[in-house]
Amino acid sequence: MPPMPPDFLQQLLARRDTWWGRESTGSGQGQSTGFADLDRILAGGGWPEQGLVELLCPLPCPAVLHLLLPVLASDGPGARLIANPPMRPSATMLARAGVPLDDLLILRSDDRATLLRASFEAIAGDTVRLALLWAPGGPLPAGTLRRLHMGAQQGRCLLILVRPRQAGQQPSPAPLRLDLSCPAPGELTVTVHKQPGGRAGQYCHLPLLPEHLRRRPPACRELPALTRRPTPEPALRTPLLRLPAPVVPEVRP
Amino acid sequence: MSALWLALHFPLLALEAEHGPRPEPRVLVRGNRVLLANPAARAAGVEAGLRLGTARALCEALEVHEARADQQHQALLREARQLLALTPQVCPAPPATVLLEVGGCLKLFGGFEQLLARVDRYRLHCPLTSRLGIGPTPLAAWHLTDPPALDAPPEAARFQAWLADLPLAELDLDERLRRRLQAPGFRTLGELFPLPRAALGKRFGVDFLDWLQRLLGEQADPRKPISPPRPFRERLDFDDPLDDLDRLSGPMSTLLAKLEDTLNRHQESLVTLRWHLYLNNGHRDTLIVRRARQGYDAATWLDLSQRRLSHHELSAPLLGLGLDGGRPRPRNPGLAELFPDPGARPPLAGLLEKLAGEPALGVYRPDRGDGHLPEETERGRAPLASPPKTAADDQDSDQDRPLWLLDPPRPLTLRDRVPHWRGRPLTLFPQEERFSQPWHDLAARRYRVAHHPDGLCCWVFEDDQARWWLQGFF
Repeated sequence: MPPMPPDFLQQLLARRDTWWGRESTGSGQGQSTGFADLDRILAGGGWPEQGLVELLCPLPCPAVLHLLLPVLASDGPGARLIANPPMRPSATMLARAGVPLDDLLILRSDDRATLLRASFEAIAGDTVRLALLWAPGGPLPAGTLRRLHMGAQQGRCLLILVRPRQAGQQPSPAPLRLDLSCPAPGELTVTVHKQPGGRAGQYCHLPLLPEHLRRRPPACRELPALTRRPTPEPALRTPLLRLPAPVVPEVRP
Repeated sequence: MSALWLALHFPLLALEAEHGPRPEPRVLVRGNRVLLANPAARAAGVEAGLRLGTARALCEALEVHEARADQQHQALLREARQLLALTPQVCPAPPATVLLEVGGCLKLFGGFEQLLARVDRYRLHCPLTSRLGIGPTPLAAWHLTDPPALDAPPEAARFQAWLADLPLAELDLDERLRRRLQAPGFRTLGELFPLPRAALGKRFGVDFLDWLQRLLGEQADPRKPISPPRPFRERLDFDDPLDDLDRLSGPMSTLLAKLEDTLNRHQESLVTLRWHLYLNNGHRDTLIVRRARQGYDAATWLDLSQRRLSHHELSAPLLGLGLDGGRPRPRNPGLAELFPDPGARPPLAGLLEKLAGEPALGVYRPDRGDGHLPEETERGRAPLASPPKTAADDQDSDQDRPLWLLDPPRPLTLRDRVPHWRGRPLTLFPQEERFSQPWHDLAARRYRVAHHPDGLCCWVFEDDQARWWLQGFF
């Protein structure tokens, strides 16, 4: 085999779509996910700054938005985009989580081509910092995914694509793919399907809802206390009437 | 054709500039003194010049407004622009009068009577209290208010007689000059007419003589009319009818370059722009292109127009293309940043403008609203709509609310009195929360949290007919 000219190799390596296998081995390059357990199993120490991330989950998966609330709410320049959500995200809860509603845009379309075109335009336009796209029905060829990945890199945007779990059997140009499942209400298990610079197959359990919503309701209606929302401690509480301890009768052998 | 002037006085302009006439007693104050009182306040005995404390003692429910000169001027200009419908010669005479030269447009409106009818119609719809004056000169029209019913323009002698009857005490002159005029025993303006003009000038000053001559029309009284807003309207006609919309980009950029040139010359910008497509079948299609904020650069307008055009279908070949610039606004450039942040991103407005032009795309910005039911408190704001002035606050922030809402709620099937979703039973939480309905005859919805075996935490409710509905997911 003739020796390859060094400038050709340099050109090849300088291409933006060349993926360096050990590119992000140094941890702490990404942005924190807001969940310490998830940050630990991701090789970049969190979500990558830009590019395509695939989440594979049984649809509709309401927990996906919970997983991304911390990064939606993190402050920084740029808008946030939610495209093709399966239901209506509640503005009240988004505002309670600290998501700036003025910088949030929601796209919906029944036309698949329009949706993908508009999403690509938003992602590649350098305005949007984080885009969350629910994959429209129908196959997504590798070329489309690759174009989305390149557009996200060009526009410095973290594109999170939510796809059904069956899509995990097909190869994808997304560098990071995570598998999500809900073993119980309010809990999420995240398994790494593929990641650059790290191992696949690692997993973690994340509690997403507060304790009183995750707890299984009692079968009997007379025991509602466990699932009641904890009341905030009042500053001054009147001391309870303290009863004298019951007198234990001495038992003599 | 002789000159004929109308004067419209707005005596309560300062009070009515903001909200129009009100039945409640209101006064305008400056520095603790009443400047102006509306009829209701005057009926209670409040007059100009009183102290505010005295006025409040006279009238308990008195509304007090501070005098604001800029607001009054804006209101006067607004009325003057309305009156441009009657004549091009509209001259605002601050503080509260607009002068109109109507001698040249009597024929246009079909005579003097028709013109007065139009003025009356304007005064009927005008939100301000007004008085009408008429005269051969601007100053005469200013003074001769509330004319009797007229069916033809009065002749010069009649005006002269009316002017002669004007009492000196009511002239629009300096207070000291008025006293000096009345000192020799004169009561009306007519008593000054026979006096030699030179002697009048010597005794009461050249300024008064000049004023009198302008009043009587012996000397010119030039007034500066307001210039009407100047919209940009251009039309291009094609030699051959066009049936391919792709070939429109050339004519469009020609028109937009002209528009940009005009806007730059006047330092103005636009928010909305209209394209008129003149079709071969006599119809005209209008395409509206909107932007999120004012703009004047032809390139962005061309991009947005082409996006808008790509969703349009022609019903007939195209004969001409028109561009209507709408209402230009003064450009107000913000301070440019000296050292822009290297990581800065372009504003969201640019993306919104592009996405708003796609008809097949639903774009909204989530927002909170006021409402009874959960689905009503969610509101989508249109992409180019401005943010609401008062944001609805989170009323029940101590309650659990779902992150996802179904609008409208989906019905659940009921088996053995247990609601089922996707064929599997829900486990209901014992706690219940009630939401009242907006209509009184409907029973309140009883909301519960429920667990689903698929690992979902749902928000369900039972209506008054014991039917169960799924409202959202936590």
